[in-house]
Amino acid sequence: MSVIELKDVWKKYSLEREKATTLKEKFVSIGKKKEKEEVVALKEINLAIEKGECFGILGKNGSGKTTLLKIIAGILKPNKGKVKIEGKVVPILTLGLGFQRELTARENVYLYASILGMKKKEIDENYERIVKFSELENVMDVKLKDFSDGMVMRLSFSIAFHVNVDIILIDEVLAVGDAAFQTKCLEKIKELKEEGKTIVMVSHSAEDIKRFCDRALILDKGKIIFFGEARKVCEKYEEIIESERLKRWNEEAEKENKIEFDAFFEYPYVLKKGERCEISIKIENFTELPNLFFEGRNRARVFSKKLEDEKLVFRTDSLPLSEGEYNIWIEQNNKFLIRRPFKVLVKNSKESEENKVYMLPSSKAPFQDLTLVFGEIPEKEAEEFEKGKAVFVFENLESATNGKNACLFKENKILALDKKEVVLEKFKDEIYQNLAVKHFKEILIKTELGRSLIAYERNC
Amino acid sequence: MLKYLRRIYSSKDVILRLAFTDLKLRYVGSYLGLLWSLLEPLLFILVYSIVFPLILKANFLEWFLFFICGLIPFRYLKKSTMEMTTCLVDYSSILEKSRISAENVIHAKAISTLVSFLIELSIVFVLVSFFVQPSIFILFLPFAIGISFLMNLGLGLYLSVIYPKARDISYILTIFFEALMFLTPIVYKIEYIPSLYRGVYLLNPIARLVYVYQAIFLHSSPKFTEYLSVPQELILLFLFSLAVFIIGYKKFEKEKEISLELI
Repeated sequence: MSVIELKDVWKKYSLEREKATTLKEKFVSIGKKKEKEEVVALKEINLAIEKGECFGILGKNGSGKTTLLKIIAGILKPNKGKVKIEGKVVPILTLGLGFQRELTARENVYLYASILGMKKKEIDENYERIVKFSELENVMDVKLKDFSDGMVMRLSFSIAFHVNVDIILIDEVLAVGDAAFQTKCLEKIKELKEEGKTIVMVSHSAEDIKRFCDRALILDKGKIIFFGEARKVCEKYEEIIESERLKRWNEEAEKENKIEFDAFFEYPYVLKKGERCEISIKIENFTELPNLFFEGRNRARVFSKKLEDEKLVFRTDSLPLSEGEYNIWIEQNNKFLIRRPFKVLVKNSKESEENKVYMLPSSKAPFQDLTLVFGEIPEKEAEEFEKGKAVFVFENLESATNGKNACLFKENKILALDKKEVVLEKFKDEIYQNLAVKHFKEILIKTELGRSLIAYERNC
Repeated sequence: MLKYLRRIYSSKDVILRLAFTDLKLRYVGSYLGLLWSLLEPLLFILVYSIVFPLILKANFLEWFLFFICGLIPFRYLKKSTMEMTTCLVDYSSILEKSRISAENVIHAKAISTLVSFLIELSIVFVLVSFFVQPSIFILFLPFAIGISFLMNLGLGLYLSVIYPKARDISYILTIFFEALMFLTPIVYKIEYIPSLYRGVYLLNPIARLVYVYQAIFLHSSPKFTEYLSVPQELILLFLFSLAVFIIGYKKFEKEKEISLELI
């Protein structure tokens, strides 16, 4: 049963309205053309959150997280779309909202709790528990201005956690308080979850979301760009953050070291596999010639380097990388100068199709000791292979692959490299004979990490 | 309207808590507390009580009693309306981040200003009772207070949604109330107005309201002359304040969404 349901929700802010907030300004702006500017804070949000679920909303600053939370809370009304909420909601957008420094802690408990929507009777009943949780029993009659920030936080947390509602909305407030109190809060959240309360949590840190949430989504510029199981969403989010961090980092590094990539090397840095590749960079202030290598599914450092007309040119006749995304590293004296993400694309010719090599992760016996590599694998399976999921069982082996060529490894050596049918026959023979070799497993682990694939490929 | 009352009732706890906080901050914030918060009107009264009897050649005590009976209700109108006007902006952080509705914040303000008024009014009552025997008219007092409250709430609701769009109305209001004070029989009695203009003068409902308060407190004083019938005035004023409230409430309901985006 979903307790929160959003259907095609849109929220826009109009910037034009904000301009004139006094009569004087309005008078002055008479006759002037009004520049209407609309900012779309949320686009086409569809969302259903189940009862008892802990749901995370990830996103950068200004991606619309808080707006979404406010819409769920009913503080803001959407311009378009439907919001259905079942049960009592409490939004905790700021800790200690409305706290008055001149009043005592006791009075502030009552004030904050009523702002959060508690009735006086409920507060009376819960008062002892709130105070006990905050560990501030002795100072409840002290004015709040004499409290330390940490104490204020503790107090506000305890109040917020004792509001008796069905749905709790939390906005980036978990990262406060000392370690011990934080643990206590985390436990309290778990407890609330077990009580069947629905929690919606907003954060720009994937850590918090991963720790509590069952499901999550990523917001970017008001749109849901990723949705699903919290762990996966967090991974995706970290990826996004990492790539952005890299970009920033590289921009800085480029500035600092005065590295200039040549024009062809613009983002998204498309290179073609098996082709002649030249990367020239302009680099100043180096004591020793830097190295360039790729890191991704494979790691390669196959470039020759040469200094030509104040430019450092890395050159290779055949780019030995399989399809995927890589980082380019430029390293000098074991210190990284630059790191950039880029894509290597496979050329769409017959020749290269046959050269495209995939390796099957053989995690199930009796394949364990053997590795079979096919020339062409349909997209779907290739994807699954990348995730490390594709395990080809014996019966399906023929139908599973479409490629023309295949290669069989055993004991770190090529056993067969021929047309697919021929290699398959060989493979079957091997399995029937059930030859197990100890060293092979190690290599498999390596290949599953995508490290030694190139070596094989080149051997082919 | 019934829905409106039910809404108020269901959120009475938070309204009262906010009102209590507001009052507590007003009266407990400084060392002298209650006294200090009353000092400002006292000084105001003192200055006027020295200057005006001299100008008007009136008896000091007589003038003083007359003055406070009119001034305190008028001050209530002014303070309450102005505080409610800026209310949405003052409470913007709470309104933006909690589910408290805008009207409740204004209701809280209405209650806290009402309580301040009652405190001031009780001081007036004690002072006046020293010199003037309370008459049966004192029974009209709750009605007068009710009318004042309703009128202020209506004005407050109306102005509170305008203020976020036009923040300089607070200056305009200050000047307006300053002018209104002299168009109201507070520093002078109605008989100072030539009888020819008195009809026009009494078109001002605030003048009538202030007169009602004066009549309630000073009815038994020999110096007090009766111009208007108090019960009849109360009925008229009630209808007027009800109209003000309904207009204010309608305006508030219509525009609160837009105003809330601006705070």
